[in-house]
Amino acid sequence: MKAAKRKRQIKRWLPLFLMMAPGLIYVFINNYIPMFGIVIAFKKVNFQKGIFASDWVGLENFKFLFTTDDAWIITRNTILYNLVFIVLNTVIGIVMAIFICDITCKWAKKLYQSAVLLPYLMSIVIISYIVYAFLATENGMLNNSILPMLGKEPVSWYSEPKYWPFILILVHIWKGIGYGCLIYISSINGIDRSFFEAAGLDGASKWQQIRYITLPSLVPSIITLTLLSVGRIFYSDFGLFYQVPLDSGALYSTTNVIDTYVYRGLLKLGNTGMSSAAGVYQSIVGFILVLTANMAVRKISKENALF
Amino acid sequence: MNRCGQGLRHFGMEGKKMKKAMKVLAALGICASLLTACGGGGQESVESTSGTSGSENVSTEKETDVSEMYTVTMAYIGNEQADMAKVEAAMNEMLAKEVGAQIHIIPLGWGSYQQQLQLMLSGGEKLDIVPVLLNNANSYVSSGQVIDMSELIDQYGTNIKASLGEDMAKISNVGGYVFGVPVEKEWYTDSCILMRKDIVDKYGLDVSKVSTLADCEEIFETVKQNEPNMKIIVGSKGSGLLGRIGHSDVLLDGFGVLENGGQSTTVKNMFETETYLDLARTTHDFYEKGYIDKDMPTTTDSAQVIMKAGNAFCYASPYKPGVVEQDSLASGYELVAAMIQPCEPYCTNNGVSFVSWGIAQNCTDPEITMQVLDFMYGSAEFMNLYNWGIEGEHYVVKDAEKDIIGFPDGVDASNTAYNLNLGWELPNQFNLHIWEGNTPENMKAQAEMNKTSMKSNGLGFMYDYSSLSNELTALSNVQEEYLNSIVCGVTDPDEIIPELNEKLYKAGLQKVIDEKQRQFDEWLAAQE
Repeated sequence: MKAAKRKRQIKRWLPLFLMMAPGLIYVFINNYIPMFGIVIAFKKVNFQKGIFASDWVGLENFKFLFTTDDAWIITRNTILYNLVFIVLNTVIGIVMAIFICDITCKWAKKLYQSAVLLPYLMSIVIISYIVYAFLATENGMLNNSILPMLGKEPVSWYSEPKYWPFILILVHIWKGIGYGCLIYISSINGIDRSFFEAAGLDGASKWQQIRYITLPSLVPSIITLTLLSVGRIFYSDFGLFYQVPLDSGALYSTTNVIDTYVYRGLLKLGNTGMSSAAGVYQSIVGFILVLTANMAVRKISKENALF
Repeated sequence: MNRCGQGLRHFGMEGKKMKKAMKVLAALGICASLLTACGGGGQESVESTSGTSGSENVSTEKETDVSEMYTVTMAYIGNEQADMAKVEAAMNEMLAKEVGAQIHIIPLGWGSYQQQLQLMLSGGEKLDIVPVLLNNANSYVSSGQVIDMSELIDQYGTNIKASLGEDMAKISNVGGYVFGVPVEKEWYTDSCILMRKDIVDKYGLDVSKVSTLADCEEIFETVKQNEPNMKIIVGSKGSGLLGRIGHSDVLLDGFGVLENGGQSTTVKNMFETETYLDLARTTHDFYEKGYIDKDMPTTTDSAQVIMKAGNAFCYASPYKPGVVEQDSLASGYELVAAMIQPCEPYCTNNGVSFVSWGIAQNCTDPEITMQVLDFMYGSAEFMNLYNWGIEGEHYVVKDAEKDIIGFPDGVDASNTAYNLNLGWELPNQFNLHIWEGNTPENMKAQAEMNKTSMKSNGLGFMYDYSSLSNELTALSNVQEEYLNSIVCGVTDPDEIIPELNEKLYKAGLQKVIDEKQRQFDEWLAAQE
């Protein structure tokens, strides 16, 4: 009786499973099988022996991430920059989204939306040269026209680390804001118009409408986006930190992050074990952070948690 | 969940037919996608095998013999050429007769060769002869990606030993593990400043009086006074001015060097040697006086490209006979060289083993591969074919007596179908015809200098750093942070170098120097 029921159930679900199969197989091949590569991080790889027969070295490969003073600087830089990026991207993204949604003129709305998105579509190498056009020591726009106009001395931007936190944050926001903004715009468009009409009739001001209708409806998107970025807090935008400062050594105290450190160190050594150790370390910490952040969200409001 | 269930019940109510149809459809869809996936892969592999066997067939009429021959796959670093298949066919004809093997050459782009080689050597891809650049040698050896060629060279390396010399044939080794055979290029280090001849003549400057960097000051000052808008010394980030002047045997990576072109036997921190500090002070002095281009620390263009723009006077460069002619072409101005010699021209492992040809661990027939490689060192005909293409089609002889060649009529650098021009990378460039613009005298002088230049005590020694990975990662990060400001002269070396040294020692420099010294002493003892 039970077996028959079970059989019937399997029969019933079979088409759905079949439909799911290609996707599952894809994810398995693409995301799960390569995970065996994690063992490389714990081995001294010798290709004549093959990866699995190579000698185990324990945590030896991870050592280089923690042994020097730089370890503290790169970890600090990575986390602080990412925290600032998460906060500013969310706040500025929402503000822009609200502004753009309140534009009534249709073509102007389209224009602003595309204009904000455009930098996101540009290659970081091109952006680094746009920045260079502003900051170059002899021929840059700032040193050549803007600073003299204000009566200030030229600055050699690429050897003064103290300006770079601001420059990098500015560049990152300018480049990335369009994408976040787009997601918030679509969420705002998804809010039932009748809420705003009712609020308007009841005499709610624009600010009150934003405060009590728009923001609360955006909370799920904000949480999802933030959780996703928290998971990547140990990764950094390599292009931004490597290309935009033009890999200038004098700026490392404020531009060196985990990814660039690993890249610079291992470019010369070509050690497979150490590079995968860095990758494993970043993913494990990212994984733990996502779990913790999600747990915190679940404590506060259950229905908004990811899982 | 709920919605799904409803949907299914919905199916059920629609009747069994519908359900069956769905199932069949889904199953068909999956089968189809699987089939196309397999089909695609299958086709590809069929195509690739037919491709290689096709090129083999072209080579000779004795098809049965050729198809049984081993095909040696050789990768080189450089651009792809349009007539590659044609040249390869000609090569195969020659190899089938002379060695009894076939060859397939693969170009790897400059931008990606490192990753591509890493992938080919890590995976099971077919690769036999591989170019080993000095920087990669240690990791290839420690992870066993290339084989030890020591015995193979003894067995089959007659041409190699004849052209390189007995002592140079096995010089590319880490602790006795021979990872490759070096190429015949200029092996010694010598430095100069290349200046624009029109400016030098205009102000009656005398470059022959110069022998050190500091000697150039008078010249720079004159140019500065008379051409106030001209950039005097240009260069690109990373090497700047100082980085292009040779002074010590850097023993692979510069963390611990042998002073005076390797005339000492004590491994020292480069940033504490008097020679280096002097050069750094002069460089900074030049920066302060406005001789050095202020944008040098961020410029990625090569000095020749900056010269071409027309507003620059000079740059530092390694010197070899012929470099003046070569760079005059590249920079668009006639140049003269002012020699900068902190010590006399010297010969180090970094110069000799800059590129070596190794055999990959994937290679299934090292013996025949070695024979093919050895053949390349001996055969002028084969080298010319590899580098310049087919005579009459890709090049013509312009001056038979001097062995000078050039493009045929109507062909130039922009539309040629084959002109590899990688003499410095290919096994034996001294066997090559000489391209227009260069002279046989220059090539002879280079070959002569290789034999006569001062030999570093470290020549033949390469240290094994596999136990120092952590320190070296930290050290290269520290060095990157400071080096650019020093070589471009931006900051005062008396302030910045002590700071750099402190950080280097903290990152483990002493450990690296000690280990280098230990291995070096052991190696020296074994030499006697």
